Amino acid sequence: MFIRLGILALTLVSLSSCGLFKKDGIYGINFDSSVPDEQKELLTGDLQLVGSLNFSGVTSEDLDRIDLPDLSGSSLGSFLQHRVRYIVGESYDADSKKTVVSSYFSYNPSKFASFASPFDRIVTVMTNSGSAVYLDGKQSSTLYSLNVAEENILVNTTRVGIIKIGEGLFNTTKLKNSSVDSLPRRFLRLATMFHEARHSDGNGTNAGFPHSKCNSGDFAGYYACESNTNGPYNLESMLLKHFYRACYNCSETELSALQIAASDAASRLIYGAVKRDPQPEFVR
Amino acid sequence: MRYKFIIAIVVLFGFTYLVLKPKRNPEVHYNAKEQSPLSIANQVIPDLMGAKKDKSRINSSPEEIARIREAKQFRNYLQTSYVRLPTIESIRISKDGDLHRVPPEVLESSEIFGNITDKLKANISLTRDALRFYNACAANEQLMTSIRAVCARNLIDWAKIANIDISKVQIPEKILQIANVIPGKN
Repeated sequence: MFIRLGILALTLVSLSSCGLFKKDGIYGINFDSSVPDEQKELLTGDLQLVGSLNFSGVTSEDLDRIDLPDLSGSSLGSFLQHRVRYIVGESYDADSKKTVVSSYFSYNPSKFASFASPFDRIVTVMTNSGSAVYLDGKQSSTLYSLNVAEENILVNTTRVGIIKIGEGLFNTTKLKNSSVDSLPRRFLRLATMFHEARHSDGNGTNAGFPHSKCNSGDFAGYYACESNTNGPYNLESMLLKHFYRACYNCSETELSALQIAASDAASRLIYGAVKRDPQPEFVR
Repeated sequence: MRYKFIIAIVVLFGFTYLVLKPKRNPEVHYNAKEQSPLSIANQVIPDLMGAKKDKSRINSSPEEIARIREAKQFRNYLQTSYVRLPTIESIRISKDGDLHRVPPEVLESSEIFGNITDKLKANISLTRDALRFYNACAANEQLMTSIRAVCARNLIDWAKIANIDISKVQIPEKILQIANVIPGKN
């Protein structure tokens, strides 16, 4: 009897380690082993917070920016669930993890986004690696797969949902006297998460909701502007406005940080920005 | 006699130079990193602590003296803070950031805005000084747009709270557009 139980236990342990009983995280988001434990713990807390959010004073214009029927915790959670599937750490190198599935692959639609190389990134905050690899494949007519969280993922859509995080997301020097797990710090990280999640949307020339080149202003010459009213920056700015209002018991410095972040995102919007189709692009 | 003539010529030249020397216009030569917002003439928001007021306070009570000292400290804080606000140039020079995200130097200035708000909440009579700071900041083209918009937001909000008329203040259209969509005190 004990021998049978022992064999059963061993079988369960080995199957579990093979990923058969793998349990997805909150909203089905899985963490790659490249994410340090403390960052994983913080992000898990951030995601748990999403479900409890409940904003008042939401306007139709706000909803238009995020293409949701409401800004309830469940709707926001669902938004992330469809756009973020894996979170990888700073050490995750997408180039070394990708495999060519098909060369001379025909993408349809074949319209291209204006694709920009990343800026000088010494401190990584967060990037949508999945969408970037998809667009890279589309440009070179190559279909890729990516190895992430012990799985091989076919990168056939902007919705592949692989988000890379870095130390910059948790940098404590940015907001003095505010602990890394405080509510405003969680709000700032979530705003970035929703921003990157939006890069999983769009099709044709707008696949991945790419940033536009700033022709003038603070970031002139950089791909750090927004030409979509429902793009990542404008969506982020709208959410930060509600995060600010929901930041009860936050210090004035913490509130100012949320206000500045909202202002930064809003300042990226180019004159004449228009709403674009958020439907994601898929290839078969 | 000869020496007196030379001295007279030198004095005459000196006097002529002082009279004809071009005067600096503070609004034209306005530099974010050199001048305090409180040293700039502003016809819209009235003078805050002029000489007349100071003279009248010489024989004031200890509470009044403490109040004046607090106001002076606040002005000093505003002056030192103003030159710490992030400029476009400083952000572009900084290479350790990702310009696709809010630059850390910009986010760090939340400490300045937070401290000012804390001081205003404790003493509303300091509002006029703060409004000068916010007005100068919102108008300063050398500063980051996001910071200017936050200044504009605070200018509008605190003027309303303290019931100070700023209808004649001209905030640049682009800055006002951003200020109108970001959260504030109202």
